[in-house]
Amino acid sequence: MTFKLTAGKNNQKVRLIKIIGGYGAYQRLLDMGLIPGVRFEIVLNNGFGPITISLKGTKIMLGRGLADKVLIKEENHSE
Amino acid sequence: MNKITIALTGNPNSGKTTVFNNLTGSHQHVGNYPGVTVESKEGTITFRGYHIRIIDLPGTYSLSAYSEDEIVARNVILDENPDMIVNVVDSSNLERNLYFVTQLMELQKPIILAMNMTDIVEQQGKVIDYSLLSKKIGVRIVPTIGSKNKGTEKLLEMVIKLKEDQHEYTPVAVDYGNEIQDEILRISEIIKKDAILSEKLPVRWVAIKLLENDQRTIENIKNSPLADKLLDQKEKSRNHLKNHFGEDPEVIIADRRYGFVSGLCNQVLVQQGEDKYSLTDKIDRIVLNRFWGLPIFALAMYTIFKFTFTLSEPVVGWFETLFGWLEGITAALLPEGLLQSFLVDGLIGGVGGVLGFFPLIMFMFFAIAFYEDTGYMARAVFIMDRIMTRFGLHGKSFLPLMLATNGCAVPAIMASRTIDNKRDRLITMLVTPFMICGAKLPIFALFIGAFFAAHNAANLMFLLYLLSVVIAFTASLFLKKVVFKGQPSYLVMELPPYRIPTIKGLLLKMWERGWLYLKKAGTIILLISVVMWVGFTFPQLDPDTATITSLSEQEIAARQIENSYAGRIGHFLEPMVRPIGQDWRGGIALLAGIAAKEVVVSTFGTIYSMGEVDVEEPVSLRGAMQNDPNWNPLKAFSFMLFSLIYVPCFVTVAVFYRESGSSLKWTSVLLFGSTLLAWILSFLVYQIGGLWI
Repeated sequence: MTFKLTAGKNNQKVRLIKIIGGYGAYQRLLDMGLIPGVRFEIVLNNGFGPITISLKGTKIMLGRGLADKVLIKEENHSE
Repeated sequence: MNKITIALTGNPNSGKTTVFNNLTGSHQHVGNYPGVTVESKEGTITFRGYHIRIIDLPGTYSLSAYSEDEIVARNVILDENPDMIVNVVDSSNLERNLYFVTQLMELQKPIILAMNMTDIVEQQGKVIDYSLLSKKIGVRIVPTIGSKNKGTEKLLEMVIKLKEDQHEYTPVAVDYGNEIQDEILRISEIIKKDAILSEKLPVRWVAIKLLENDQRTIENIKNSPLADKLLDQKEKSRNHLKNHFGEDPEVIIADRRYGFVSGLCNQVLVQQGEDKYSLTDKIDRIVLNRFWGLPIFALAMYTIFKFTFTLSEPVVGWFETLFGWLEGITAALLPEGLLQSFLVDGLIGGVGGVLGFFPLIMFMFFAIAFYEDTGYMARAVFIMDRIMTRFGLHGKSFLPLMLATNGCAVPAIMASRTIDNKRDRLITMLVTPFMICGAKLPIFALFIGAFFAAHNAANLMFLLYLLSVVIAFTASLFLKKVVFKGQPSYLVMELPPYRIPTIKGLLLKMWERGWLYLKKAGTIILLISVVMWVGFTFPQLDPDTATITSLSEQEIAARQIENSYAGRIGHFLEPMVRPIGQDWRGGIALLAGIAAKEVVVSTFGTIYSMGEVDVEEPVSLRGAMQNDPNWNPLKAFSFMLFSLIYVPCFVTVAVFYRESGSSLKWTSVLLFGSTLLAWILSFLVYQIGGLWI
């Protein structure tokens, strides 16, 4: 089941399914490694303000508006 | 002497600035306010008979045209045509840093990788096979530890070795797979037919950028006679790839680059080790906490102000004493007359007034640099994003607003370059001048000191700070809701691991920013001081009328000022400033303030000290204004309010004009919008306030 990054929980390991594109930050997200299929961990989602994720060895924060455009799926631990 | 030009690149937080400082020592020339390294700095050194020029480029993750930083970085590499690129790599974060390297490799320049932070790699238990990495991608490698100044000389030796190497040493090309490679070739074929274009830019790079739909590259090729054909092929290729992969080509290209990099990492990381960010994680758990985050942020900001004001106070005192002493000496040595008046009132008085709070600015820059270099500023963006977005700003808008508060709007506007979105940046630039910069501070200090009770001073100052924030936020909300309706803004930013800053790095940062401020004070304000003095001194009253009419010396002095050029301009302005409670004196001071806000104070200084007869016993400016029956607290407050809001100093306006992309439209909005707002608010306060008094 896919859901938005804004609905993710702390310490949840997820896989990126799709980024809804068509705006300025799209290329930046790709450059930061947010590419469909990539796995990452949600570090902090306070329920307000930006969301912090851990991806390719760095912590990145995404504003809530942007996190709303990122569709993810929970990564199965056995996979 | 042989010359070598180097472009120094790297990801943000890779330690690039430290490596630059190590390489150049003290031989740096900051061309502009570096904000958060937003403008390219230059340094030169002489090493083994070579004159090496190093251009420090903004730290970036990519060479897309997404942000100003990236555009500056790639334009310098393409236009300045450096002999080679030295790219600083955070070796402890290989994958993300090598992604950037894959893009540099496409620019067809020799590359040296300064593999930085190798000490952290060791701590993590990782082992990197440098010679394999060097072979695999066709670049040269030097391990460095910037924070301990290790590897600096080896890096310079490598630069010379690469320069002296006769045979071409070019990086390999990333393999994007057959489908994309075919399209790259199709576009390249057309580019090659345009001799000028293919001479100017690397062909394959342009082709890839077109496939990525890079707007800046599309603009660059527009002048080519083959532009139509190229754009046509670009669309065809993009559609073909979209159909084939079911994704935008830029997604596939980024994916292939990361694929290339991750394959590379698997090969060159002989021992994987573990990423140790446990301490950073622990700190972040507290600092970014939903309850503790905001109080900690407030505390951090409070320490900046406390640090700045407490430590700078004695130094500001020394400066004042020094300039007072200079004035005294000059007055004693020179005979009374025009020359003495010029030196004492015009030069020393004018420049001294400005330099008086230079120490304050230096301490402020130091404190901000501390929070930047530890990594806390990124957390501050995290905390502030929620509040800022509510008012139509951006999480990153917070730093410019912060720099302008007690600092200067000029570096603040430059620092807004880190805001990637053009509209967010424009809103930030428009409201930044409303903050109380270091130059407005003395105006308020003067008026509050002169016209309000001492026990109210702190409250009143706080009220002005509060007002500046309210006005800035209201204006940004208005711009966002009314002018730029319905365009959402996005924040994406790295949270770097916490690091202990080096004293040298902090001092250099402080000095770079402070020096540019000082240059402004030394040149523009000096000039303005001289112009102001001339304006107030000439034309001189006919001495005969002065002696014949039986006026007191004080009245003569007052007449002299009213009769001067400045006085006449002031009188001309009077009808405009009378509704906000000012007379010609306020008018001329405000007009002079457009040159630089500090000048408002020095203009009053000129008006009142020249009206003073007894040079031996000068009454302080504050006292002189208190004794002037024309003033009252309401007028003083109206004046402060107007000063807070009206048109920023012309250096700020000039920088705004350039940074807004030479937009006359937005520069006019800044000029007239702020002045109109200032007039309306002061008018309301003065007129409504007048009903009570």
